Parts: sequence; structure tokens; C-alpha cells
Amino acid sequence: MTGPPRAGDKPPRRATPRALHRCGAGASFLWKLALGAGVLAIWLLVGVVVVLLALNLHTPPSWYFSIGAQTEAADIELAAGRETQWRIEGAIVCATKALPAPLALLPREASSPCGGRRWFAHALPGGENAEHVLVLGGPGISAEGAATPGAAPAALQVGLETRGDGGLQMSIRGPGPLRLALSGQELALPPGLNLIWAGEARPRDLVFPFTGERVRVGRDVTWSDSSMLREGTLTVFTASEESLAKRSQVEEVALMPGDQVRLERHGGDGAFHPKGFVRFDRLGGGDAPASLGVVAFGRAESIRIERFGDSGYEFKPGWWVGILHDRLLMMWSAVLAALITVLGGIAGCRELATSPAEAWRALCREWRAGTPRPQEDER
Amino acid sequence: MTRHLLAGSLLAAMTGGTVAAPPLEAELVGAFFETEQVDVAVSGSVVVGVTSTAVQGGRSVGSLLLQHAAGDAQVCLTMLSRDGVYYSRNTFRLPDAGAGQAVRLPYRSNLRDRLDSYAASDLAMRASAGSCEHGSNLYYVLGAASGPAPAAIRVFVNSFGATDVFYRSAAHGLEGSCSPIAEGRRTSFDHWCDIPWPRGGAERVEVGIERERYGREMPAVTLTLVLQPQDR
Repeated sequence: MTGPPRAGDKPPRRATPRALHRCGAGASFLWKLALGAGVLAIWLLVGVVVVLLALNLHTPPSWYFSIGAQTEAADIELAAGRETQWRIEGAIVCATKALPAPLALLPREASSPCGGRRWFAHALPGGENAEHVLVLGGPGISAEGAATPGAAPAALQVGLETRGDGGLQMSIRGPGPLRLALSGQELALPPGLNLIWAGEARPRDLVFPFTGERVRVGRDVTWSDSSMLREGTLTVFTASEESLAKRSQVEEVALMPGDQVRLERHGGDGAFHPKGFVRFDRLGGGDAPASLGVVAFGRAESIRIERFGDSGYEFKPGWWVGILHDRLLMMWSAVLAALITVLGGIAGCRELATSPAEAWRALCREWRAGTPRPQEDER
Repeated sequence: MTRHLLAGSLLAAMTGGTVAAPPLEAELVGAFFETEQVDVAVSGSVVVGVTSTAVQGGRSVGSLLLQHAAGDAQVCLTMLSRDGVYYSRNTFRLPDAGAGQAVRLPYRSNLRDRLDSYAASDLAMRASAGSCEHGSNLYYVLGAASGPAPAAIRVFVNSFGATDVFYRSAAHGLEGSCSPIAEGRRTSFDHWCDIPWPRGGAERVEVGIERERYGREMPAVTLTLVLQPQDR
């Protein structure tokens, strides 16, 4: 029997199992190790985000602009040296000199669709089922007009405009070579042509795909000219590996009637030519007159919208938009924010400040100690 | 005075060492008028500018010269930028006893920074005979007191949608195509015609500007150009 404790006696130690102490110290070590690793990861992530941010600001993401518009006038400067092929069935070919057969020279009369006295009108041979392909551009030409591989290629300027009678007219200017392919036969054409699809001739719908140096959709509004852009949209995309479409939309603006939009070749690393197509709908929907549907797509730093009554503005995403659409930067920023939130939530600042080495030493002391020591508050 | 001496010596140098009198100076009539407006005005004139190729855009506005033609007491000087933002229109009185001499037009703009940013293809200048209240098709070919001797007359044209623009001077056997301006905004003008300087010491030249829109002829414009003496 043990008597009641007398005054001056030390209180008896509580006999905590050694294994329990060791487990507690081990768990404490692991916990602090995890917290330390988390803090280290936060600093590493901060570094990664700073580097990604610097890279983003130094080399902003590529912007891809897309124009989709219904217009009555468009101008294209075709890419120099590239060959472009368009089907032109039903066109009256206007040249400043008489062209040889099989093109049929039409009588010169005041009502000629080719207009003034300088121009000779020609009808394309064959019926509606014939295929007439106009080949624009290609290898460089010499001053005499002969194709010369070494000569610098020249760009061709193409203007398209709807006619009041529901038809279409096209002007092709520049020294670039022009050829007409007719049922396996090729015919060289002189530089400078007008192609007229008169409305009463009921031309079929036409599509003109292109790769250009620059594209202008719409026309400056003046009192002497009624041709203009009717409606459309301008969309900015950025390249995105994560997106299924490999691009993600940044912004879209509506174009107003009378706007003029220009998309030009991007001269950054390598040349990025605007591409697209022009579609001529002979009959618009309902009572709408004939129109040109223009779709153009290209890489650029900015695109200019010129609107009647003001000096126009650059449509260009800012640096903040560039940061917001950098998927890598956004992903690591989100991971960083999540880690800070998690660590901040489950551990106080004092816990985060504890060194894993100190916890290791505490574990070692517990492991080596023969008898359990009085319980100390672990920080 | 220093400017006069400098301009005179440059003129002498351009004329092969001939000692020429310093150019006289025209006098501005009324208050100087110029605007810089975001609300772009659309010009209604086909011929927007007539200069020599020595004039290099906004940098030349401080040294503009013309030949004083007998009978004209005033000239109307207009400047219009291609984007339509800058516009000025001022009448200058020519010196009384200056017929046949070079006259400098003092252009004291408050928007020199903007003018300096306009290159040769961005700013059209036109000096027509008479005050700005009266229209005229007699144009002085504006030159610059500095720079090389011009090889051509440059006419800035607002083609109003033409696909082809030509110049023609039957009397001097001059004809050719004008060049479209493909880059940038083309609100005020979209073509320029570099007309070779007429030989034979002509003081005046009649030039026609013809336009076609997809082959259809548009109304032609005839203008009489007064050439500079030093450039003949």
C-alpha cells in the first residue's frame, strides 16, 4: 500500500509510452517538413510566375485577326510571287488591246460594259459549263513581260466592287503575269484587266480565295461613291495549345456601315500573309442587292478601323489582355494562389516559420532519450 | 533676313551659280487658319495638291516658294493631310513689284509637330491664283527653298473611286499613269501623278487629269500650272 504523498515529495511522473512520444515527434517532423516544402514551393512558384510574366511582357502573344463582312467594295494586294487561280466564268474581259482567239472580240459600242474607248471587250468562249481559270501572279517577270525566274516578283492589285445592276466588276493592275486557262490551253494576258459580270447576264456565285500582302474591306465614305461596307465583325484570337480549336477568342467587335478595315502582312519572325476569300453572292437574301462576302484572317500586331467622321483607331489588345490570355502564366498563377491559400488555411504564420531542421532535432532527441521527458508544448 | 540670304544662296546654287535676288515674301491676309480635327472632312476637289518633287511633306512648309505670275495679286494656299485630320486654308498677298520673281510664303503654323510627322505622300499643298473666296484652276507649282532641284511636278489627286488615273499635256507631249497610294488611309487623296518637268523653259503648262472607273470615263479636270523659275 502506498501512503498519501507527503509534503516535499516530487509528484510521480506520468508514464507516457515511449513509442507514443516517438510517433508524435515523427508526425511533427513530417508535418513541419511538409510545411517547409510548401513554403519552398511557394517561393519557387513565385519565381516561375515572375519569369513567365517577364517573358509575356517581353514577347507578347501572337494576335490573329479575323474579318467577316458583307461589303460592296474590297481591295486586295496579292502576295508577290505566289500564284492565285480564280474561276471567272461569265465575265467580260476588258483589255487595252485586242486579245487573240479563242477570246471573242465584242463590237465597240457606247453601251459596252468595258466603258471607255481605251478598252476592248472580249467574251469568254464556250457555254455555261466551260471552265475559265484566271491565273494571277507567279514567278517574276522581265520588263518585256517574259517569265524570268531571277526577276523580283511584283504584286498585283485587285479591286472588287458590286455593280448597280447586281453584277460585279473587278480591276487587276500591276506588272505581274496574268494567264487564262481555257480547256487545257493557256493564254498570256496583258497587265491591266477589268472583268465585268453584268447583272443581266446572271453570273453565278463566285469565290475568290487569296493570299495577300494587304486586304482592305470597305471604302472611305465620300459623297461621290455609294460603295461601302455594310456590316461585319472583327474578331481577335490568340494561339492556344490547350484549346481544341488551337486558338481562343479574345474579343469581338461589330463593324458599322461605312467602316474600312485594313489587314496587312505581318513582318515579324517570318512573313505572315493575310489569307481569306471573297464570295460574290449574286442575289442577296430577300430584296438585298448583290454583295461581297469577305473573310480574311491574318496575324498582326494591330488592325486599323477607319470610320466616317473620325480619324480611325487601332484595334489592338493591351498588355493586360496578353497576360490574361497566357494560359501557362494563368495556370501557374492559379497553382501559386491555391498553395498559398491552402497553407495559410491549415497552418499559422508561426508554423510556417518553424524550421524542419528544428523538428528533426526534436525527433532525434525523442528517439535517443531513454525515459520519456515531461511533455513540452510543441510549437 | 538670314532666312532670305540662305534661301537666295540656295536658289543661286540650284540655278548653276547664277546670282539671284533673294525671294520676296508674301503677306498673310487675315488671321492664319488651320485645323486639326478628329472629325475628318471629306474633300470635294479632284486636284488636292500641286507641288514640285522637292517638297517633302510637312518638313517643307516653312520654305515654300512660288513664282509670282503677273496679274495675280493673291494666292490661296491650302494644305490637307491624307488622313483628313489637318487642314488649312489661307490667302496670301503677293508683293506688288514681284512679277516673275520667286516669292516665299510665310507659313506660321502652330501645329508644326504634327506637320513634321507628315511625309511627302501624306500632305497635299495647293496654291491657286486669287483669294480663297474665289475658285481657280490656275495653280502655282510650289517648290522648296532647300533640297535638290525637282525633276517632276507632283499632283495629288482625289480620284473618288477611280481605278485608273492619267495625266496628259498635249502641248508638251506629256502623258502617263498616276500612281495609286496603297498604304495608309486615303480619305483626302489616293493617287499622285509625277509629271516630268516640261522642257523648253515653259512658264505655264496645261495638264489634264483623266480618270476611269472600271473602264468608264469620269469627268476630266484641266489645270494650268505656273512653274517655278529656278526649276526650268
